[in-house]
Amino acid sequence: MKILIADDEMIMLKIIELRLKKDGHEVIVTSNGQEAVEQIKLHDPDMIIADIMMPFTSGLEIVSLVKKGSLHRKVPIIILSSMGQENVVLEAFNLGADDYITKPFSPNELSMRVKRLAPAAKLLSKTNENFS
Amino acid sequence: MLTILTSFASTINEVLNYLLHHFFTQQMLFDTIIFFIFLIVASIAFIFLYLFRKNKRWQRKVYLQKSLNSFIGEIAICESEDELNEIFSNPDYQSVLLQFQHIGSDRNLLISELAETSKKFRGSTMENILWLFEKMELRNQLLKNLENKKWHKKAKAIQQLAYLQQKNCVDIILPFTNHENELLRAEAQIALVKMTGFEGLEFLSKVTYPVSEWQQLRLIEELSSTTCTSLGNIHEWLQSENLSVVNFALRLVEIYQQFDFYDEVKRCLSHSSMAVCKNAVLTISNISNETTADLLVAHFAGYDAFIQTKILKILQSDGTEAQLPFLFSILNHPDDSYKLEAAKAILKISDTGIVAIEELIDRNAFPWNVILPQIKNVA
Repeated sequence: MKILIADDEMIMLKIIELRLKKDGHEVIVTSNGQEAVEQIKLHDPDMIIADIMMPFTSGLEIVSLVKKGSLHRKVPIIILSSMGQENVVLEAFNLGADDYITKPFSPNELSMRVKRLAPAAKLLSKTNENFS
Repeated sequence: MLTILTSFASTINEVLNYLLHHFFTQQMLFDTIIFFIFLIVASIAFIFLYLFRKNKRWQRKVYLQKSLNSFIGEIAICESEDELNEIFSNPDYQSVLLQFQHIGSDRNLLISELAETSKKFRGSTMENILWLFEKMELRNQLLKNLENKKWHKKAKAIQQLAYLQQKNCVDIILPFTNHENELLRAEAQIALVKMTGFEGLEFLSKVTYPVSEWQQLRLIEELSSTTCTSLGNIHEWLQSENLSVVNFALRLVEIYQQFDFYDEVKRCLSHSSMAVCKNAVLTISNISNETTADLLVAHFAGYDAFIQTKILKILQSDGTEAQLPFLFSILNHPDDSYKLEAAKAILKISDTGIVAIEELIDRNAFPWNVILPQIKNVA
């Protein structure tokens, strides 16, 4: 599966990248929201993992853009954030995020959540192929 | 404008001429100009050199961080000790690690990266980070930083020890919890709680400086992520000479519903400090029993207006018919806000309260012509 990770913290990006590569995924990394939007258009990932607080474009804006279909096809999105407040989590789910992980978290837990969303990603990918 | 400039230039010319004729020789003036030109050139050269060195250092830091990221990343996702040892002894990474063996600033960079990583991850990743911390023998570097003369370096070291869960350093951090520097003290207190949870609050028995309201909130926030295990020393804290400690202990009793300490909180109702009394009133109303309302009424007269109003509000939820005589007496209080709160309490306690109030007061006169419709609406 092709997964795009967007996070402005290098160490976070590296650890998630290595963990997902270990699971056999193809990983694209970006360090800010604007770059993430460009990479989504360019690489058409099957899943997106985005931090909320990023320069230029926030993770929530990415969710909104992807779920409205204004970037490319709809794909599952996992939001990462240090903010565990109820209103932020609810806003993310309202916009269409498929999962929400609060930092600190375990990369193994993220890996499991990616696995859980993989069937949905595949289904969305197939729907898109049939549709086009 | 032109006239002003011309007159300014002529004034300067006159001053120079005056100086030249009365104080300086032409050679002296020339030497002075040369000196100042040299000074300017030297300053510019110094600034450039400084910026060049700073840039070089920054570039080195970025390079080290980049090489560290891959290494820490690999270590972080290892699933067994064998895998950890394999990555650690990888020749490519050994050459990276060699740079972090001796130079203090580089070792500090490695510590910072590990502490930052441990803030964001948990589970096996956190354990792997701690494994690397031990393997690189970085604790000594942190302990060295604790001896630094600059307070902020000490504070950073304390913070990092906490993030890296160095529980065996608790005794070293403990004295800093009563340090004269407020920020250093605050970091040490937070660090202890972060590492050992409720046991870390032991510093409250020794702290002589005030624990600020903000610091109390930080401690409570830190405690919220741990399970309440022991608050055994609360007895001692409630009798502390440090008023902020007493107030904090009252808060803990309230938040963690420590009913066992009811009698100690009761004693605080007669404390010499009004701030402590206020918190004691709030706390006791949260761990109340059948005697609490009477107790609050008994202490009512000795309190300031703020606490008295609070008590009247508490009686609205906790009051019983036993407090009705007291509440009826408050209806004659000169302060209208007291009348309002007492009337509300009476209405909540007794079904016939409104009739009883109307018998006692003149419903058409101010303030009752305003209060009565208000409390009837609430009821």
